Amino acid sequence: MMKILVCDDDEALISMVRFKLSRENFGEVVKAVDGREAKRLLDENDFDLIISDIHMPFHSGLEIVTHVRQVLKKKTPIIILSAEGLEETVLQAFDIGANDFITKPFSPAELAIRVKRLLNL
Amino acid sequence: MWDILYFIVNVLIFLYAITIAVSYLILAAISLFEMQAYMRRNYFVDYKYILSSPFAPGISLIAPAYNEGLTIIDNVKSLLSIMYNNYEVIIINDGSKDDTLAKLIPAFDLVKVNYDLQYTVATKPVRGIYKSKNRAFKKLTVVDKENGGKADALNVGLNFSKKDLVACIDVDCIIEPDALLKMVKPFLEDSSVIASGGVVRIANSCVIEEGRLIEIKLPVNLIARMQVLEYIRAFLLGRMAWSKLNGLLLISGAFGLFKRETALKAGGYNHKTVGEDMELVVRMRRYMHEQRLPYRVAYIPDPLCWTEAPASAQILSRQRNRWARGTFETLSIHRKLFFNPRYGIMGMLSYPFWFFYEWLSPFVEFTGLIFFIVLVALGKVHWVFFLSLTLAVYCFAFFISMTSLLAEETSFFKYTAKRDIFKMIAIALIEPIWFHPRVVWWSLKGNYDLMKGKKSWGEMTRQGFVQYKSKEKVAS
Amino acid sequence: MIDQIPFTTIQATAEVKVFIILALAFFAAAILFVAFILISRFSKNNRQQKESILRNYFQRTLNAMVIMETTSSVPASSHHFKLDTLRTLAGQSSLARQVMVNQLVSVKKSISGSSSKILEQLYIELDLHQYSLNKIKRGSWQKKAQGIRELAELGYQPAIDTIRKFIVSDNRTLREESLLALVRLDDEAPLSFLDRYTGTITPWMRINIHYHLSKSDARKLPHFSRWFSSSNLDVVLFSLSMARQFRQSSAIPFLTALLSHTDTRIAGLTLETIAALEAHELADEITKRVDAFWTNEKLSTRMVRCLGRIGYTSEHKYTILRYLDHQDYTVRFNAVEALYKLDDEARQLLLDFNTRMNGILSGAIEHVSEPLLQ
Repeated sequence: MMKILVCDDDEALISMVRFKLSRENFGEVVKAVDGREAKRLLDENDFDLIISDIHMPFHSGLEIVTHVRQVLKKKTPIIILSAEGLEETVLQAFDIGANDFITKPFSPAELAIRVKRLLNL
Repeated sequence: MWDILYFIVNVLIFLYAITIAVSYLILAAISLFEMQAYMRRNYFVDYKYILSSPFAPGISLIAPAYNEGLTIIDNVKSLLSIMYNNYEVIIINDGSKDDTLAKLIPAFDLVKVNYDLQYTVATKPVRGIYKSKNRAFKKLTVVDKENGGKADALNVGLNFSKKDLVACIDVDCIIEPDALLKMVKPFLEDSSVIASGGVVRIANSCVIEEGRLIEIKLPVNLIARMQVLEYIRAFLLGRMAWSKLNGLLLISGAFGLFKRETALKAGGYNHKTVGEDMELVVRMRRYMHEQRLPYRVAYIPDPLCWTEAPASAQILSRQRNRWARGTFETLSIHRKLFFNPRYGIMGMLSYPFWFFYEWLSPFVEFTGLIFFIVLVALGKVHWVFFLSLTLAVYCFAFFISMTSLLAEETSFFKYTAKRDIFKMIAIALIEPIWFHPRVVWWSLKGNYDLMKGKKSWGEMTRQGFVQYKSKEKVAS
Repeated sequence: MIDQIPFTTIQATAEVKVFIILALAFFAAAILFVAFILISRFSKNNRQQKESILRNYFQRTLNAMVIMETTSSVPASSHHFKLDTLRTLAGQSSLARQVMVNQLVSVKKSISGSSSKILEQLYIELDLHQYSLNKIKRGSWQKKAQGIRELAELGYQPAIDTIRKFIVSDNRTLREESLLALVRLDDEAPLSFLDRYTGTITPWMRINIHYHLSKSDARKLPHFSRWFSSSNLDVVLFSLSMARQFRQSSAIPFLTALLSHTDTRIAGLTLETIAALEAHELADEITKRVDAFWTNEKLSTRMVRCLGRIGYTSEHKYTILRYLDHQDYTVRFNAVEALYKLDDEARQLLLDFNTRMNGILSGAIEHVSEPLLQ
C-alpha cells in the first residue's frame, strides 16, 4: 500500500487530486493544507511520494523539498505543482531536488501518469 | 484683567476642541468610506498574477540590524521566504557590538565579495559585503558597516540597491508573506506613486514560530493591549483618510515601500533626526512639488507588518519621547510648508494638521489641565459644566474608538475570538483615563528633552520574539 | 459661538444641556456600532457555516463528475441524476448558486485539459451562466464586474458582446474586468480592442493580460508589431513588451523605427526588446544612433546593455568603450559589464582602457567578475 502526501492551501484542489489518485488505486492519500502541517507529517511518517504546491502558508514547497532532502535525508519522489512556472523557479526546484514540476492549470490525467511513473507502477 | 485672560484661554481651548473633534469626525467618515471602496475593489485582485509575472518590478528589502544577534537568524529566514519573485534581502549590520554578523556568516554560508559600492548618499564606511555560497540563499546580501544609526544604515541600503523599489523595514518585524505583493500594487496601477505605506499591528502575545505569525491574539499585557486600539485607530481611521486626500506624511519606519530613484534624488534618509521615517516622506513629497511632478503617496490598509510593542511604561515612554522629538524635528526642518499653497494639500492641510493636532495637542491638553487646577484652587470651577463637558469628550473618544473597531470588523477582522470584542470595548473605556494622560506626559517630556539637546534614540530594551531572553539596545 | 462661552450659571446650563446631549449621542452611536459588530459577526459565522456545508457537498459531487468522466465510461443515467440533484440545490438559494460558481472557478484555475472542459459544460448545464449574466444586467458595478469575471473564468463565449459594452465604463474596475474578459474569451482576436483603444494600460493590466495570454495557445497570439505605430503610447509600450516577452522575432524589422522615438520610455523599451530578441542585425542601427543616447543616462544604460548582448564587430565594442567615461556611474558600470561579458576581445579592450586610466574602473571590473554576484 503506497502512501502519498498532497500539500496545497487550496482545499478544492486537494480534494480533486485525492479523488483522482484514489480512483487510480495508487494508495492512501494524506493531505496537508500548509507547510507546517506538511513538515510535521513528513517528520512522523514515511511517504512514497510527495506532491506539493510552492506558495503555502508557513513553509514553501521549496522549503519542503530542502527539508526532505537535507534534513530527513530521504529520496522520496517529489512533484512540485505550482501556478508559478517562471524558468528561474523551475530550475531552482530541480536544483534542490524535486523530481518533477507541473504548472497549474494542470490536467489530472497527466498528473496521474506522472505519479505512476515516479512510483514505478 | 483676570477675566480677559480667562476668556481668551477658554475661547482658544474651546475652538481647539471643536476643530479637532470635527476633523476627527471627517477623517473617520472618509476612512470608513474609503475602506469599503478598497475592500470592494480588492475582491477582483488576484495577487498571484504578480507573483508569476516577469513584469513585476524589482524590490530590495532593506533591513538595518543593530545588536539583533538573538533573533537575526529567524528574522532573515522569514524575510527570505516572502512571496515575491524579483526581490532581494539586504541586511545592514550597523556596527553591532554583539554577535549579529558572527551568527549570520556560518548560518547562511556567507563570504566577502567585491561589490563596487557607490556612496551616492554619503554614509559611514562599509566594512564588507557578504553573499551566500549556497544557492538557496541567493537573494541574501549582508552589508557590514560602521555604526551610524538607523537612517545611515538605510542609506547604505539605498546606495547598494539596483532595483526599482526599496522596502525599508525593521528587521525584527514579522512581515506577512504576501506583503510585497500587496504593497507593490499601487505602483503598478499608477506610475506617479512614489511611496506606499502599510499598516503596523502589534504582535505581543501572538503565537510566532520561526519568524512567522501562526496565531493572532490580543496582548495579555495591558499596556500593549492599549496600543492595539491606538494602532487600529491611527492606521485604519487616520492614515486611510490621509491617503485618500493624498496628504499622507508618515509611512511607518517598520514597513514602507519607496521608489529608489526618488528617494535618492530627494537625498535619502536624514540621519540628524530620530524621526527619519516621516522626514523622508515629507522630503520626497517636497522634492516632487519643487520639481512640479505629479505624485501620490499610497497606503495599503491590510495588516502586513507585525511588531512587538513596548510592554512596560518605561520603554514605552522612551519610544513616545522619541516620536515627539522626531515629529518636532521634521516639522521644524520643513517649516516652510506651513500653510504654503505651493505645496498643495501637504502645505495647506497635512502639515498644519500635524502641527496643531499631533505636535501641539499635548501642550494644549497640559495647559488645559494646569488651567483647570488653577481654577479649582481659586474656587472658580463650575462643576456641573465641567463634568458634562468631560462626559461629552469621554463619549466622543469612546465613539471614535468604536468607529475604528467597526472599520476593522468590516475589513480584516483579525481579532476573531468572541471575547476580544468586549476586551477591546473595555480598553476603549479605560484608555482615556489610564493610558492617554501618560502618553501626553511622555510627549511633553520628549519636547523638553529636545530643547535640552537630546539626540539619541534612547535605550530600547526589547523582549524579542524569543520571549525568554532579553537584550539591550545601547544608544547609538 | 464665542459669545456663548459660559461665564454665568444661567448660560452654563444651556451649555451643559448641549454637552449632555452630545455625550449621549456619541455614546448611543458607539453602542450602535458595537451592536452592528456583534450582529455582523453572528451573521458572518452563520453564513460561513452554511457555505462550508454547501461547498463540501458540491465538491464531492464535482470530483466524481469531473474525474470519472475523463477516466471511465459512466452510465449517462448516473450523470443525469447528479446533475438533477445539483440543479435542485442551485434553485434553492442564491447562496448555493454563488458557492457553486465560486467552486467551479476555483477548480478551473488549477485544472486544464478535458477535465476543465467538463467544468465549463457544468456551468451551463446548471444554468449558472444565467446567474452570472443576471448580475451584469442589474446590480451595482461590483456585481456587474463579478458577473463578468465569472463568465470569463468559465469561458462562456456567447457573453462577449454583452461584456464589450463595459470597455468604456466610467468605473475603473468594471472597465478593466471587461477588457480582461475579452482577452480571455475572444479566441480569434483577443487583443482587437487595442486597434482603437485610447485609454491607459497600467503595468497592472499588463501583468494580467500577459498572464492570460501566456496560458492561451501561443500560435494564436497576434503579431504585436501591428500596434507599434499606434498613436496611443501605452499601446505601443504594451505591444513592445509583449513582443519581447513572447519572443516574437517577427517584430525585429519594425524595431529600427522605434529606436528614434521621441518618447524615451519607448526608445528604452525598444533597446531592451532588441537585446531580448538577440537581434544582431540591428547592432549597426544602434551604433549609428549612439550620439542621441548619450545625454540620457537611462537610455545610455540600456544601449550599452543591448550592445553587450548583440554586438559583434569591433565598431560595436568601441561604441560601448566610449561609455566607459560617461558621467553617470550606472552607465559606466553597465558598459564595464557589457564589455566584460561580450567576448575576449571586448574584455581585453576594457582591461587596456582600465590600465590606461590607472585602474579607475578596477572596482567595477572586480564586481562584474565576482561569481557570487551573477
